Amino acid sequence: MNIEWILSNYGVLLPEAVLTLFAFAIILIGLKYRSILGYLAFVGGVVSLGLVIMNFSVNATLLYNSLVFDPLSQFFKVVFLLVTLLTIIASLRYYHGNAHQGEYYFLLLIATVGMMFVASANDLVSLFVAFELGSIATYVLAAFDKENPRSIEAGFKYFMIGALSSAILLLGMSLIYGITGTTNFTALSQMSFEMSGYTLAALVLIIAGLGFKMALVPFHMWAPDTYQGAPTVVSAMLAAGSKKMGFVAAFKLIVLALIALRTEWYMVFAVIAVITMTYGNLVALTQRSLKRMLAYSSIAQAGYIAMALVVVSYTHVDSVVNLAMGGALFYILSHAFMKGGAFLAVGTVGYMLLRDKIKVDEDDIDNFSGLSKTAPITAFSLTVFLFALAGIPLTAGFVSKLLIFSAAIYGGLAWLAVIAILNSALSLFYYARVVKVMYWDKPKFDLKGEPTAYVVAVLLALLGTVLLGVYPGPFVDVAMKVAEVFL
Amino acid sequence: MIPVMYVLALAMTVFAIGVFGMVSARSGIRMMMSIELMLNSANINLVAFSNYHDDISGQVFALFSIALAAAEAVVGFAILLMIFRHKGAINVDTINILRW
Amino acid sequence: MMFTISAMILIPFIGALLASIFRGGAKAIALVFSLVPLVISLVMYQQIHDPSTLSYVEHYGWISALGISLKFGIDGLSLPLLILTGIVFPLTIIYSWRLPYTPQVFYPLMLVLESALIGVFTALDFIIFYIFWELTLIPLYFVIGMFGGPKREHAAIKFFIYTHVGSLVMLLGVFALYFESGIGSFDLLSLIGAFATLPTDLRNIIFAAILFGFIVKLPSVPLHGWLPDAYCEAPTPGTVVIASLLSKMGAYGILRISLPMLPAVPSLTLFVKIIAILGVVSILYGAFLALAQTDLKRMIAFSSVSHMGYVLIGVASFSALSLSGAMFQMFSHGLIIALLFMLVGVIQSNTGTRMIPELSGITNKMPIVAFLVMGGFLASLGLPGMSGFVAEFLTLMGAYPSLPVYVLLALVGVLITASYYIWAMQRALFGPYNENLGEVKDVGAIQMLPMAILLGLIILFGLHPAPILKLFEAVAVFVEVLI
Repeated sequence: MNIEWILSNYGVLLPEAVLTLFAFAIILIGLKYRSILGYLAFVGGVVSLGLVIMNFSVNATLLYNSLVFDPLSQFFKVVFLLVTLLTIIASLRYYHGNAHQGEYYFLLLIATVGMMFVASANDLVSLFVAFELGSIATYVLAAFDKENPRSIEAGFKYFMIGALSSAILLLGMSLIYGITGTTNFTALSQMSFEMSGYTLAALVLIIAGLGFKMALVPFHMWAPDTYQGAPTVVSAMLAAGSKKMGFVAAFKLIVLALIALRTEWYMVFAVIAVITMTYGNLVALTQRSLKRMLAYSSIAQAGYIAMALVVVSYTHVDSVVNLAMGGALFYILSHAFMKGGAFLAVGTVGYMLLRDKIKVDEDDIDNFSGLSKTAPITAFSLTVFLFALAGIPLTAGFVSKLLIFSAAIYGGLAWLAVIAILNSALSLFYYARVVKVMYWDKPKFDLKGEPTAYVVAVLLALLGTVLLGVYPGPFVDVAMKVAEVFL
Repeated sequence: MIPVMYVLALAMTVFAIGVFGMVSARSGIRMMMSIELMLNSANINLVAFSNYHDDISGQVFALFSIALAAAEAVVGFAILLMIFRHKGAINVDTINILRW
Repeated sequence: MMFTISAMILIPFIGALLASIFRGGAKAIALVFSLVPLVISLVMYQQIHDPSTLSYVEHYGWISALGISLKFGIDGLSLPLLILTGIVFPLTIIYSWRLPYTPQVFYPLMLVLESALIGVFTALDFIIFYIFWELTLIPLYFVIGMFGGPKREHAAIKFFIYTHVGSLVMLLGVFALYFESGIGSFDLLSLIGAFATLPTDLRNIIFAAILFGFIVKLPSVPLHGWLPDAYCEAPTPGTVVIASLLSKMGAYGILRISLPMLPAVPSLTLFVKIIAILGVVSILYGAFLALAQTDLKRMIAFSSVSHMGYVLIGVASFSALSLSGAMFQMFSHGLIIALLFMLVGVIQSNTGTRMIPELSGITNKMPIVAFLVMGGFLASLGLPGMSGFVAEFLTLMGAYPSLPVYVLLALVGVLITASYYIWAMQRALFGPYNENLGEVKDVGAIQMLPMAILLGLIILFGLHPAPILKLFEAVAVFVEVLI
């Protein structure tokens, strides 16, 4: 039992271990030195990210096959860590001097650890535990600004719906266990199921439980309230990171483990995907609060990603499955940049209003009038993020949509692709409206300079969005390679 | 030995009571209790199936989920406490700032 | 010459970055960088050997998983359009020199637009073509929205969404083509080649979807809904670029992609008839609408619909003569319409109105403008000796054997065109001076220069069309053989 033995057997756990260590260190150091905590969390995230990337093509299982470390899990860990890093950079400014910084960064890192374990889970038990770890920490984060009634309300709603969905998910899992007698994904994937009332109930409960986390309609009602009310840096993390936890859990549970069940179910997924994107886009059209608009747009985006589930349930041709899942993974990566960046840009404006003591609703669309003159970098970046979300070329959003829509057509679901394309044309209305307000309306407030930390975070997200759009080749190749896990 | 179907029926009844409570309750505490009921119905299921399959992992799962339910309750009550501080009540009808 | 086309696309883009950083020098930077593509395309013109095949081909990987690659090249069809782009942009920038547009915003947008247009005219991979195609919308959205007229917000969003939906339909058609043919590459020529191998009923749908996207951009009646608002609300430089170059994207797409597919379309006669009808209806309907306008800018906007109808006639004719006429129409119309819209801009800014009834006898006060307007109008109505005549004459003559009825109807359109131009000229330029206009000044030297150059080019290519026409003829003959 020396250090080498531990490293050779448990070395793949290092990223999570480092992050956990940093989290506890932050709590301790936070008792005395508050000003360095954000940087410490950032360093922890960077080290962890480096370790994940170093071990990207690993293939190992741990703890009686309850955790698996493969390119799929590493891919999602990269996404989670990138989002966390962006959030930390912006928080350096937002929570500067806050008395509870230690707890904030602790929760942020622990939530990330939870999400990373979800990506590695290979067993119902480990999945549920990791899922709860990732969720419970984010409930607190959403309610973190405890002086702000909106934040508490956001946290409360998020908590109630989240706890409800965990209970539903757990019941579904218990039924799966009852039917099969095993909790391991590898064992589950080799089983053949008979379609009965129990399997039906189990699948419905699991789709509902995960649907809440992914914010698919009709399980979406918490998302707009939570994203609007939570501190904007946290909203960025929830929309860009935490939501992906639901996706990776769904991919693992529905696509990998319950492979025998998902056939015949494509119509259910199709209906959910179509309703989700259409509802999200239609309601987003009417919003005045930008955070709420982004929340609904995020619901719509989840609908596009869910198309991958439809395609893989409909067809089992390897090349189609690979394209669909590769597209979904690429979409998830680019969505992390686009949506995270958009929320952070909105947060920049909210912060500037707060700093300059202008008392208005922080995210009302009127606050953004003439932003191109008062905060040019933020306005330009937000424009790029919104166009990316709409799927305009040379941004990550275009390539993602290209991949996932072409997967739908390739899989023989042209009607689904047509609906999705119409939806993305519809979404242009509300994105273009924000751009209009920022670029050709008169400035409403005199804002004094853009905060550096926010600008850095926004520019990093911008870099990701543009890089994935202009030079997507290698990233698409990686996503396709990772997606081979699903074949 | 009690047939597994009976236990399953019990679990489902408890779950249904939880869902009903969740929908009808106006007090935050009642909602928390309903969630506990729902989680526990799943635990009953897990233990019963563990016995049925003669496999220990179901009971392990139940233990984990009990621990997690406790953690969740802590966070939930903390949030409720803050609501109480702001509004002087934990009636969910008063939580209505965010809406479209 | 490895990176010639990449350089052409990238240099204006780099110029855009520089112009947005160096505010003071934005105009000069924009002018210099917008001239580079003209120089490069003229060098290409010198060196091109066989205009009927592709040259200067560049090929880099982009998304290998879908078989998308960055492939560029030029031939006799795209080179004149590159030259046109290279002519129009510097002239537009000179024209805007004294106009009150925020330089560090306006000029970068124009340069990005130039990059995107060059990309459209050179791309040989469908997705890359689509990317540049869509990319042209964004700078224009800002140009219309930030610098446009009173209804600019409405016009900008309408233009953006209308043409975006058109392009999405086209994209769907291409997806269907790509996956049904199973060639695993978005290479433009391979895709067109694979079109004939598809099932019969699918071919009709795919062809229609792709044609739809191009026709929206052209625009042809009945899909011209975005045009009046966009043309009239855009600032003059924006209108010039949309009318002279953006509409050529649609025409270029039809000639580059739809035309080679046409022989393999199962309902060939039906589609030829539809295209010919669309062409004639555009010519006549556009002309009638122009006749009814009192707004000079709107009149010219509808005349543009009318003139782009000739391209459709040329496509439907299947004759090399008519095709080369239609291609030449793209080039010539690009010059003429740029001149006309620039003139409208000058008239509006100097007199404060562009309503024909309010303008009267401005010849007395603005002799240079009046002379240029006369030149532009006569060129546009197809006076012999001007480039418009060559194009329309060739198109109609070549199309007469196969489409006699349509050609006769189009000739009616020519008559109406002549009448609305002459009528407008009579009302706006001549007659007693409308004293309500007050003291108006003639055009300044800076704005006169680009317009004079344009008129000179129009007359030059009217008298001696061969330098450009020979490129188009080579392509047209080649296409005719294919068909």
